Amino acid sequence: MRSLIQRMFGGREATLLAACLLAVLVFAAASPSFATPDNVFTVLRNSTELLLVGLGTTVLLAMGGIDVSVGMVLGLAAIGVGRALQADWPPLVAGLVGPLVGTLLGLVTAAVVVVGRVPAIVGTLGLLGVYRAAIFLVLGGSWLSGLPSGLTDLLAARPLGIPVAMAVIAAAYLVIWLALRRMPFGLHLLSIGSAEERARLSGVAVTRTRMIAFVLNGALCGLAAAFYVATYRNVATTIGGTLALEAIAAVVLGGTSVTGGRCSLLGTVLGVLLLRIVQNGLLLVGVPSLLQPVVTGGLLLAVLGVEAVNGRLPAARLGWPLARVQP
Amino acid sequence: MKLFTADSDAPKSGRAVYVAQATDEGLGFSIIDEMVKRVGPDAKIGIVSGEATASNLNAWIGFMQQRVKEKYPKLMLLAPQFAGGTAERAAQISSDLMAANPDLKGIIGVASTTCPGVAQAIETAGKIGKVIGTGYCSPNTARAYLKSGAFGYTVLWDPSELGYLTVWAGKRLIDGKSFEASNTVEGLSHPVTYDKATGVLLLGDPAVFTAENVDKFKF
Amino acid sequence: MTFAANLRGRSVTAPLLCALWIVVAAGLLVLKPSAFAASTITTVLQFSTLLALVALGQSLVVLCGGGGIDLSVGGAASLSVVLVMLGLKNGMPDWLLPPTCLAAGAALGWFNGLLVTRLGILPLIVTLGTFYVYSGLAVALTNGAAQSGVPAWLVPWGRGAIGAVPLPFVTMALPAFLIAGIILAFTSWGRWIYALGHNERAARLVGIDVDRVRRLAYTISGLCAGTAALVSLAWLGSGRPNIGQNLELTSLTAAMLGGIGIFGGRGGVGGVLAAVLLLVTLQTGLLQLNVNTIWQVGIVGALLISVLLADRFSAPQG
Repeated sequence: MRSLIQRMFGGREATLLAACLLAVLVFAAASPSFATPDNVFTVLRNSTELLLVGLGTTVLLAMGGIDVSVGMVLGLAAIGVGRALQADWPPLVAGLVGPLVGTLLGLVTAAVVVVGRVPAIVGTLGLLGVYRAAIFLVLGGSWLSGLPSGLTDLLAARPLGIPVAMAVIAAAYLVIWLALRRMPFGLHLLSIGSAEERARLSGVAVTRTRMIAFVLNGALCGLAAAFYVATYRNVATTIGGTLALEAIAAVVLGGTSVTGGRCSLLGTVLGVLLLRIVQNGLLLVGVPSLLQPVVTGGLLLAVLGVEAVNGRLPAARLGWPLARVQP
Repeated sequence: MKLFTADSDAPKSGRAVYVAQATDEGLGFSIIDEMVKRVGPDAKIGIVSGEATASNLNAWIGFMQQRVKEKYPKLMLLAPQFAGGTAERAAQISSDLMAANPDLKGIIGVASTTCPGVAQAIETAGKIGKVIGTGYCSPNTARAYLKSGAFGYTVLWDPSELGYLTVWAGKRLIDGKSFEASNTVEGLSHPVTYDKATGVLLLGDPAVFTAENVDKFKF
Repeated sequence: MTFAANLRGRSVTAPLLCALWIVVAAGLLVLKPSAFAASTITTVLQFSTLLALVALGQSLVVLCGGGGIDLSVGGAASLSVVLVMLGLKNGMPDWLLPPTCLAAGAALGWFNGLLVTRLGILPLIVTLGTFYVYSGLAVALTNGAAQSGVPAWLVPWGRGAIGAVPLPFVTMALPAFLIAGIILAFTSWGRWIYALGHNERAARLVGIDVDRVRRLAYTISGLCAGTAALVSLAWLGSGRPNIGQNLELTSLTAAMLGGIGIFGGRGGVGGVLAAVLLLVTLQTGLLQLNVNTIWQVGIVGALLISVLLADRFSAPQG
C-alpha cells in the first residue's frame, strides 16, 4: 500500500509546472500580447471542455480503462442541452440535461465494456461509430443554431463575486479529487489499474468500481457539453471529432499512466494548460496553426521520451491493458 | 446516363453541366468588398479556415487574396489559419489571432463549421464592434451572431434556390434541351447564366445577409 | 490454446463475416440490381486495396501483443505520399518514386518500433504522438494542397484492371496478405509473433528476441502504409496530404472485426481481408442506395460490439 501511495504522487507535476512556466516566460518575452489579462482569460476559457473531459479520462486511465468515444458523448449531451434550451426550459435545468445524458451514455459504455467484458478500447471504438451515427440521426443532417443565451448568462453570472462557470469547474475537480484521494473508490480504482486480478482477490468490487468510473466519465463529458453549448450556442455534426485523442494526450502528459495504477488530477490540469499555452503562444509568435498537431505530438513524445531515458517510468512493456491473465 | 455536378465540381469527369451556387471568384471577392465597406481599405483582417485540404475553401481564400492584391493594396490580409472542422478549434484560433494582433479589424470564417467559433471568440473577448466577424454560413447559423453584433454580415448562396436550379437543370438534360446564355427559370427571382465554354450554370451573385435582412431567410 | 486455434482466431469470426457479406450483397441485389455491375466490383476492390494494406500492418502490430497498436498508420501513409512528391519536386528521378515511397513508410514505422522497444513507452502513446506528428507534417509541408506531378507511367497500373479486379489489388494487396499468411502459419517468425503476443514473458524466456520481432512488426506496418501511399498515388494521379485520414481507427476496426484479439497472439490475416471487403462493400452499397455513409460508421460500430459480445458469451471463461 505504501508503494501505491508513493506512485500516486510522481514527480511529473513539478516537471510540468516548470514546463508551463518556461513556456510562459519564453512566449512573454517573444510576444507583447502574450502576458495580458485578456490572453490569460482566453487560454483558460479555451481549456474548459478539454479539462472536464480530461478529468474523466484520468479516472478511466487510472484503472487501465480508456474511452475513445468521449467526443461523441459530449456531442449527444450537447444536443440534449440544445434541445432543452430550444424548448424554453429554465437554463439551470437545461444545463443539467448535459450531465444527465452523459451519465446515461456512461451506463451504456459500462454495460458494453464492464458487463459485456469487451476490451475498453475496442468497445468504445464501436460505440464511437454508433454515437456518431446517432448524432447525425438526432440532428437530422442540419445543425442546432442560434440557441437561446440563458445558459450562457447563467454560467457568466457572479452571485458571490466569482463566475458560476469557475465554481462549477472547481466543484467538479473537488468531487473527483475527493473520490480518488479520500474515498475507498480511489484506492480500488488504482488497485484495479495495478493488477485487476489481485484487486479482485483482495475483495475489491471490481465490476462495480469500473462501472462507476465509466459513469463518472460520462457525467463529466455531459458537463463539458453544457459548457460547450453555453459557449457556442450551436451544435454541428462535426462536434467532438478530435476530442478523445487530445484528451488522452493531455492526461498522459500530466503523468497518468495508460497502464493504470497511477494518476494525477493536478497533472491533468497542468497537461491541458501546457497544451493550450503552447498552442496559443506559438500562434502569437506567428507559427502557422497547421503545425499545432505536430507540436502536440512532439510534446507528448518529448516528455515521455525524456522520462523514459531517465528511467523514471517503470518498464511497462508487459502491461497494457493489464487485465490479461493466463488461464 | 446523364452526369452532372452541383455544389462542388468535378471538371474533368465528363459531366454535362455543373450547377454552381456562385463562382468561387464571386464568393471570394464579395466577402472582401463587404468587409472593406465596414472596416475601410487599410485594416488588418484574419482568416480562419477549416481543413487545409478542402479545395473549395482554398479557392475562396485564393480569390480573397487576389482581390486584396488588385483592389485594396493597403488591406493587410493575415495568412490563413486552419481549424479543422470544429467550432472549438476555430474559437481557440480566433481568440489567439485577436490576442496576437490587437489592431485586428475583422475575422473571416471560411468553413461554415468555423463560423460559430469565430463569433463566440469575438463575443467572449468583448470585441463586438471592434472586430467584425463574418463567414460563409447560412442565416440560421449566423442569425444570433448577426443580432449580437459579433458578425457584421455573412455571404452565401440560397440553398433552396440552388436545389431548385439543380432539379431544373437535370430535367432539362433528360429532356435533351440545351441551355441558353441566359435562362429564365420558373420560381427563381432572377435569370440564370450559362457559360458554354466551361459548362457552368451559375445561380448568380452570392447573397449578403445582415442583421437587418436575416429574418427574411429561413435556412 | 493450440497454435492452429490461435491462427484461426475467434470461432465466430469467419462464418459471421461470410454471412454478413451475403446479407449485404443479397440486400443490395434486391434493392438495386444495377449495383452488380463489374464497375461496382472494381470500385469496391479499388477502395479495399488501401484499407486492406493498412489493416494488414495494423493486425501484425496488434498480434505482437504488449499493448501493440498503431494509431499512426494513416499519418504514415499521408506523410509518405508528401515526402516522395516533395522529393520529385526537388529533382528526385521519377523511377525512384516507388522504392522511396515504400522506404519512407518503412522508416516511419521503424521509428515507432524504436520508441516502443528502446524507450519502453507504450505503443498507444508512441503512435498517438507520431499520429499527430506524421499527419500534421503531411498537411503542414504542403499547406494542405494536393501535389500534382505523379509520373504518367505509374497511373495505368493504378487504374488498370484484369477483368473486374483492379491491378493494385492483384499485385499488392493479395500478395501482401498471402505472404503474411504464409509467414504467420509456416515460419518461425510467425510462431514467434504468436508466442510473444500470447505470453511475452515465456517468449523471452525461451530466447526469442522479443524487441527485434516487435520492431519488425512496426516497420512492416509502416511499409504497408507506404505501399498504400504508392497505390493512392498511382490510382488518384496526385498526392493528397490527407489520404490517410481516419485510416487509424478504420484499420483497427477491420483488424478487430477480422478476429485479431486486441491483447495479441490470436487471430489470422484471412479474417482481416474478409472484414475489409465487408466494410468497403457496406459503404459502397450504401452509396449506391443513396444512403448517407455516416450510417456505415454506425453499422460497423454496432457490428464490432456485437461480434465481440457474441464471442464473449459463446466462449468459456477467459
